[in-house]
Amino acid sequence: MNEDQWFGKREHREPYGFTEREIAFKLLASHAMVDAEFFEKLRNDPVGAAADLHIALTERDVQYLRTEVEWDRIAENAEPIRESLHLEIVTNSW
Amino acid sequence: MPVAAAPAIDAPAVRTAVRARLGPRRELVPLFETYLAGLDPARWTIEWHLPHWLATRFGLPGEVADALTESNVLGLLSVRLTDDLVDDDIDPADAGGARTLAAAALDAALYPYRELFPPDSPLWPFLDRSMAAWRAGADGPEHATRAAPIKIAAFGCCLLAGRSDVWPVLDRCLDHAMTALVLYDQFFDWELDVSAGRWNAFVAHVLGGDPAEGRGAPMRTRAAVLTAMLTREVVPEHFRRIAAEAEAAARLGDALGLDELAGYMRSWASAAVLQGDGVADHYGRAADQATRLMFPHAVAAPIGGGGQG
Repeated sequence: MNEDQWFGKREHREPYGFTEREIAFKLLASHAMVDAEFFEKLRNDPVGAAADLHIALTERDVQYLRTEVEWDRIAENAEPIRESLHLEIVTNSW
Repeated sequence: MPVAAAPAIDAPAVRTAVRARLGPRRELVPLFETYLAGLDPARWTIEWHLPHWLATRFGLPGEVADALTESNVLGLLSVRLTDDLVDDDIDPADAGGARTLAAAALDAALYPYRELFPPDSPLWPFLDRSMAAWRAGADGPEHATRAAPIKIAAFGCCLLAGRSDVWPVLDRCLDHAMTALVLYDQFFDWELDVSAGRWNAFVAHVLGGDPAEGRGAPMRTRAAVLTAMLTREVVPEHFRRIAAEAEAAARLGDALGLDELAGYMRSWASAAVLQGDGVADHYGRAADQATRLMFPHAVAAPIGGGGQG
């Protein structure tokens, strides 16, 4: 099996992406990953941040984002993912 | 960043001939050599090879193909310098020398044309139109205008061979080929272009209809494009468009009997699609990783049993 730095075994792709809800969360996570302002807005005003992307959160989602997400830990762990998004990182093995 | 192996060419011999023809002033030699070294035949394959491909097809003398190849390299050097001047990519201290060198290289590129074509030849108005088209469209959505300078040698070969009849098809073939190459380059330049506020074909494709469009500032545009790369099929779409243009060029090359050009464009298209798939896969996995990191519980439980990071 192939391994790479951040994604582990290449075959281990998560099966989500097939429901509206999962796509919405992928969109929120991806946007937060690449946009620091959006990350902060999602942390402090999840309803407004989601509305910016035309996503309506459930009350349970909002509660989850406000009380369960470990934002400081995520901010720390997000940096390697952000670094991996630079195109020269993607292509430097070619 | 080449995506297909270039055919063999004696690049050192071409560079030697280019040096001899231009004979740059001593103070311009370092800049000249820097730019000449950057004109890798593997990256600029069509510029380096088209005169020989056409000469082979039309039965033109090898010396003519050699001279027009050297002219293509000099013309490309002039174009690259001019592009970098326009983009402010040259140190202001070197800008004057760069302008002088660009003009001298373009003039030297024309030497064999002056010997081969009389003053009333259709080559000259064609050359003027080509350079004007390139200047007008070099930094915008008219991708094929980037091909304008390279068409000069191609048009010249048609005239010399008495085959002006094939020009309309060759013209379209080169438009498709150069559009493919420009779209490819623009993908890899997108972050630099966004930072510099330049138009970029990939960014324009991605932001069409995106809710983040119009936020303006480079950081927001970069975020909008990256989000699209993470969550939509924008990368494979862009590379499929590149491959379609290359395939169209190859089909027209077939029709003209330009086997080397057609073969090169096909091999290039296949390699480009593989690269696009590799890039798309990387961003798809990054999106999965980001989602697992941020919302492991929100997205995990009921679907397929996966999702925990």
